[in-house]
This record gives sequence, C-alpha cells and structure tokens, in this order.
Amino acid sequence: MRARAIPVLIILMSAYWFYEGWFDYGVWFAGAPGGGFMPVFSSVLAAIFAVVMLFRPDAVAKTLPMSAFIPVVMVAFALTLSLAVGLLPALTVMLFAWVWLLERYPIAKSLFITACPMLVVYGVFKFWLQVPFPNGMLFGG
Amino acid sequence: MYDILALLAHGFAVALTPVNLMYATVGALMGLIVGAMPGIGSLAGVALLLPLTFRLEPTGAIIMLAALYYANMYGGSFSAILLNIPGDSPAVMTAVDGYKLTRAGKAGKALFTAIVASALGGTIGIVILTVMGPLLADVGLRFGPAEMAAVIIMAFTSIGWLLGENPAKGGLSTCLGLMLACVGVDLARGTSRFSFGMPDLMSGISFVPLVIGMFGFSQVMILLKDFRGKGTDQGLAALPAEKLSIRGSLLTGPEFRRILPVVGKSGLLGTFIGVLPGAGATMSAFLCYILEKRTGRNGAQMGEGAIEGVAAPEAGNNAAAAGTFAPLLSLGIPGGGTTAVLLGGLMMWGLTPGPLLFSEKPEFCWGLIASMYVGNIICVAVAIALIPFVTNILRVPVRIIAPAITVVCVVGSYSVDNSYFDILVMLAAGLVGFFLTQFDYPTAPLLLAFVLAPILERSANSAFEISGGSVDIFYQSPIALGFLLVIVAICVSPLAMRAVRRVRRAGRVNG
Repeated sequence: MRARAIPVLIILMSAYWFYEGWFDYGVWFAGAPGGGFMPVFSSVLAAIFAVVMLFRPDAVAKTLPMSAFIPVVMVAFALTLSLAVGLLPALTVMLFAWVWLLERYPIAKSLFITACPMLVVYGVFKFWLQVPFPNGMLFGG
Repeated sequence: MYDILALLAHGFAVALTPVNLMYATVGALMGLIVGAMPGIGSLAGVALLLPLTFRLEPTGAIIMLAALYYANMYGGSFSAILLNIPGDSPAVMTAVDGYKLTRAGKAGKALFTAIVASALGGTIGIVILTVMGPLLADVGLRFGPAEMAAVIIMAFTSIGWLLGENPAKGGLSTCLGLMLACVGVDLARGTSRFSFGMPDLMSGISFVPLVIGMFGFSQVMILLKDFRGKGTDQGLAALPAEKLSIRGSLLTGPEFRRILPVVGKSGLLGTFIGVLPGAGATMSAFLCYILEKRTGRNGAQMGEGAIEGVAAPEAGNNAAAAGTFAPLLSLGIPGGGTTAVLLGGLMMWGLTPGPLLFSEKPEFCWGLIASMYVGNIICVAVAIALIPFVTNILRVPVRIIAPAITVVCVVGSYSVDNSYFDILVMLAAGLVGFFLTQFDYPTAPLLLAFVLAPILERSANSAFEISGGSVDIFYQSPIALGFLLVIVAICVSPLAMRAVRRVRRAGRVNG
C-alpha cells in the first residue's frame, strides 16, 4: 500500500465534509456557529495537513501480509453465523475454528483454549453484568 | 483547620471499622475487574455496581461506592498497559507508554507505576478537596464557555506537536478525530449530520467501540502481522519469572524519584481540571501528559515507553476523580457522568449535595472524604496483589491471545449499547487504526480529539451566543486570553526555535 493513500483519502473526506458543512448545514446561523461550523473548521485543517503529507519525501510504500487481516475475516464469519445461532455461540465456534484450523493446535487443547476465555465472557458479561446477547434465529432470538 | 481535622478523624473512625473495610475491599475488587473490562468504563461500571450497595446501610454503601469509583479508574489502566485496550477514555494516554513498556518486558513496572501514581495523585486530589473543597468549586464556576473552548483548543494545538515524530501526522490524526466527532446530532440546530440515512449514526459514533477498534483490534492485526508463521509460541513479551512477581515489579529508588515530581504536578493540575464542569478525568489525563512531555526532564522519551508517560496521566485522572467531588458536594453539580450516577446514589439515601451539605450533614461529608482515603489505600493493596496474576497473561502465546482478544473486542463493543452496529464500528476503527499505525500516524490524538470535540463545539456555540457572534468574548476574559496566548506560543515557538538555530549556525559558519 502506498503511504500517499492516507492523505489522498483524507483530502477526499475533507472535501465532502467541507461541502456538506458549507452548503447543507450552514457555517453561521443567527449570530452563532451553525451545524456546519465544526465540519468546515476541521476539514480545512485536515486538508492542509494532508497536502503537507502528500508532498513529504519520506512517503514509502509498504507491503502488508494477508495474515494481518485474519481477525477481520474471522469476525465477519462470526457475525454472519451469529444471525443463526446467536452472538456468544458464534464467537465460541469462531474461537475454536481459529485455534484448531488456523493455529493447528490439537483438538483437545483447542477445546480447552476455547473454553477458558469463553467461560470468562459468559460469566462476566452474560451472567454477572446481564448483557442481553442476541440468541439467533435457531434459538428464538 | 482544627475543626476539619476533628471531623475528618471522626470520618476515619467510621470508615475504618472491620465491616466497612470489608465493603471497601469488595468494592475495590469488583471495580478493578469491571474497570479492566473493555467496553464497560467507569460510568457504566459504577452504574452497574450501584445496585450492589442497595441493601447496605448508608455509610457502608458510600464507602463501597468510593472504592468502586476509584477501582474503576485503576482497572482501566490494567487493560491499557497489558493489552493496549484502554478500559475507558481516561486510560487512552496510559496505553501510549504503558503498552510500549509491556512489549519491552516491563509490564509489572508499568502496572506498579500506574498504581503508585494513581494512589498518590488521588491522595493529592483528596487532600486538596479536604482543605479547600468549597473554594475550588467557586474557581471552577469561573470557567465559562469561552475559557473552556480556549483550553480545549490549547490541548489540540499541543497534541499534534507532542505525539509521534512528525507534527503534521499528529495534526492530521487530530483533525480526523474532529471530523469523525461531527457525525451525529448537530448541537446548534438539533439536526443529524453525516448520518447517511443510517439510524445508528444519528446519535453519532460510539466512543467505546472506536477506542476498542483503534487500539485493541488493530493491535491484534499487528500481532498477527509480526508473529504469525514464525512457528514460535512467544507471548506478548518475553518475561523472566521474577519480572512477573510483585518484587520484580517494584520501582527502584531512582525510578520512584523520577515519578515523584511528575505525580506532584499532575496531581495538582488534575484536581483543578476535575473541578471544571464537564472537563473530567479524560481531559485531565491528556493535559497532564502534555504538561509532562513539555516540561518534564524525560519528556523526550515519553511516547517511546517511559514510566513518566504512565505516571502523568494516571496521577492526573485519579486527582480529577477526587476534584469532581468539590462541585458535587459544595454546589450539587456533578462534574461528569460518573459523578452524576454517584449523585443519584447519594440522593437515594436522602442526602442532597449542595451549599448547605457541609454545614447540615458534616458527618456525612467527612465520612465520605475519609472513605475516599480508605478506598484509595484498599485499591492500592488489591491492585498490587493482582499484579502477578494479571501479568501472567503476557506468557500466553500470541497464537492464543490474538483470538481471545478478538472475542473480548467483539463482546466489549456489543455490550456498550447492545448493538451489532457497534461491532461494525469496532471493525472499521480497527482497520483504520491498523493502516494509520503502519504508516506511523499516532492514533491517540484522533481519539482525544473525538472525545473533546463535542465539549469544544458546545462551549464555542455558547460563547458566541453569549457574545452575539463576536470574538471579543475570548479576549475580554483574562483566563481565555491567557490560554490564547499559550496557543500562539505553542504554534510560534517551534518556528522561532528553528529560526534561532539557523541564525546561530549561520553565525558559526561566518565567524
């Protein structure tokens, strides 16, 4: 990924923030700042800094390994599965699959590794703090 | 003064009975556990634990609440230091140096520093509250919208120059935080901004999923990038057994002397900031870090894993936690969300804080203040006893800890509002945080700008409404003018220093 991608994306975001702030929300309204004051103020400053970064000589490209994105894929998998079985069971399956299939731990050890954090999560969040986790379609949620 | 000491002694006599000490210990333990849980935070933590005190008699309940409140502050720093997941917003600055110390194999040292600094900072705050609570509350009331806006702009101006090697990157990160904070209800007209028709965005982006994603989830991605495929069972930090013990975590004499002045400065500043309505522990931690970075002897090392970087925000946020009690007890004004919940708890027992409370219910006021001293000491004891247990987490191989932290990130994000959308916010923030970190953009300024932007917008709006749209209000107030001059000095000083250095160099070449 090229280092200049970040300033370019922020310039585009700033342009949108500025447009909406100036034309839709209004910068000044009845003798006081309007809804667009903060978006315009922040977007102008962001654009200035982004332009400075765009022309800096130290901007280098970096190759990012795909392994870094495993958590994103696994959470996406868990969220999809949670629609059917509920959030906590889906996270349990995700954790077991990750440890057993990706990290190649033996099945018994994988089960133990999965059980430890999930017991803490169930104990603290579900039973003590009583967070109402969704049950999923299969379990009437 | 004699009266104060006599009343305080009476308060201690009540707070130090075995039953009340037990309540304080239970409160401290629960508060530490809940405070360390990402996504709960001190406000939700105190609110969740408040029902535990319902069945107690009022004095025991107040003592337990004070311990809960303090322990929540301590707990937030545990997860920030060990996992780079701040339990709550005041711990964001602690994560900057604390996690770097952990990766360098000094987790115990970082935790011990946090505990000692929190205890000393909190004690400074409580002592000041004891001696001059009502006076402090009066000073806090002199801070109007213009003064508050000026102090926040000063904080924003500083942060870009202070974190990371490149001020432009710090500035860009700050502005990105300001822009993200614009999402949600517009404070001027009450309409929704940048919500793209999505109901979940109408009330803005939730802070907790943002912080979990930006710090915690992005850290999981970085760990997998650095460790995966290398065939090792290495933990987050390679630690010999003695470094996980209490003895291995103790500060040496020189280290203690390093943090002592830091704690003193941060304790004083933190107490004062805690008194300001709406400012609270986050701003305190942030400004104390900036003050130390600017004026401290080891300021240059802060951001790279210095114990001063842990001591300053921790002393500051605990002092602020004590400072918020000044307007609460003297004027009946809660300084922040957590103290508002505490106010509810106090009113539940028929105690209405306000100007007459100190004279009408002195035994209650001084009992509460004494219980804060006791709660603070109990928190230190419980927190130190937990060090060997919590630091063991660092021995767990990254191949196991990464999936486990991912689960905690998802559950913590969901628990804030019981919303799937917050998990998506956490995922997006994680990706943004990962890319920013890979290209050496500091993420702490983004989060702090995000937290403080609504206060800035509200203060600026009120200031302009008071002045009828004139900027004179910022020059007519001596306090605001003072802050504006500091802002100008912060902006001009690097350029002036560079010009002076250039002139000197040119002089040397010519001479």
